[in-house]
Amino acid sequence: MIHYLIGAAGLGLVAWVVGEVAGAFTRLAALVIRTATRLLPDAKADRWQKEWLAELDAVPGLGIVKLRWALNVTAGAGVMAYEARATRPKTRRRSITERLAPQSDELFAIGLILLLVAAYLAQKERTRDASGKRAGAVGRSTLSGSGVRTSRQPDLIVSNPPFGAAVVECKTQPRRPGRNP
Amino acid sequence: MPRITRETEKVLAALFADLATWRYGLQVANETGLRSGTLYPILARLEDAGWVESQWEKIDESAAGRRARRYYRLTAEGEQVARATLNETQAQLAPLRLGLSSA
Repeated sequence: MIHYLIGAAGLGLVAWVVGEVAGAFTRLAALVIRTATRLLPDAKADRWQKEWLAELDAVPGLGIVKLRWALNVTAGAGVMAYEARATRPKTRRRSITERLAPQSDELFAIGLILLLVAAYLAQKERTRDASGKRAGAVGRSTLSGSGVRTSRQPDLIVSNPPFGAAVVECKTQPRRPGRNP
Repeated sequence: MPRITRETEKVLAALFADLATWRYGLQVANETGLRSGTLYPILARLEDAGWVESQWEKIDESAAGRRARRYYRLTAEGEQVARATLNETQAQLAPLRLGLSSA
């Protein structure tokens, strides 16, 4: 009696495993079809996915047969995708001016703003430069005249800041021992 | 205009066999013996050429317990092409048949 029970339980277990495996193959087949339709152009992908999933249900046999059918469909989807690309009308690549033309007003405004910002920053930099030189670092002198003479004639850097003052930068040489300044 | 291969001819012949009947892909595959990977590109080509028309099955999917299928049949133009193609094939095969029957 116990042997019959064990046998029946074993058969039930095998049937359950087979069902699970077949179900897994069917789910895998559906996944394969969904992946295959990604190859197709967007306009056609939905239609073929619905059609193939509907037909997958009608494919007779176990899950492995459905999976084989789905893999075949994938090959067909590849062919269809290739043909769709080949028959697509080739559009001329638009030039950069053609692509930007609709936004010309916005681009002009942005360009103008950038130009004004750049001019403002340049003016600010010049003013800061001039005021920094006027503050007087060591070895510099500010003159309202037209030049400077020193006994050693160092390198002179003369700039023309605003407000009419000439800034003369003197890079003095280090003193040599034993000589008069 | 799609190139008429032997496989395309099989599909045309299957659809031509009963012009009034709508068939879904798997039925055509069973009638022609073509694999799904061969059949669907042919159906797509024929449909793009206007030789085949298709429509969704009108069912309540929840009540039917399955998804709606896509059904195909030949258009009037497709019918003419199928007739011409099949006649041409018959004409090409006729001498062979005669040869076989006389031998």
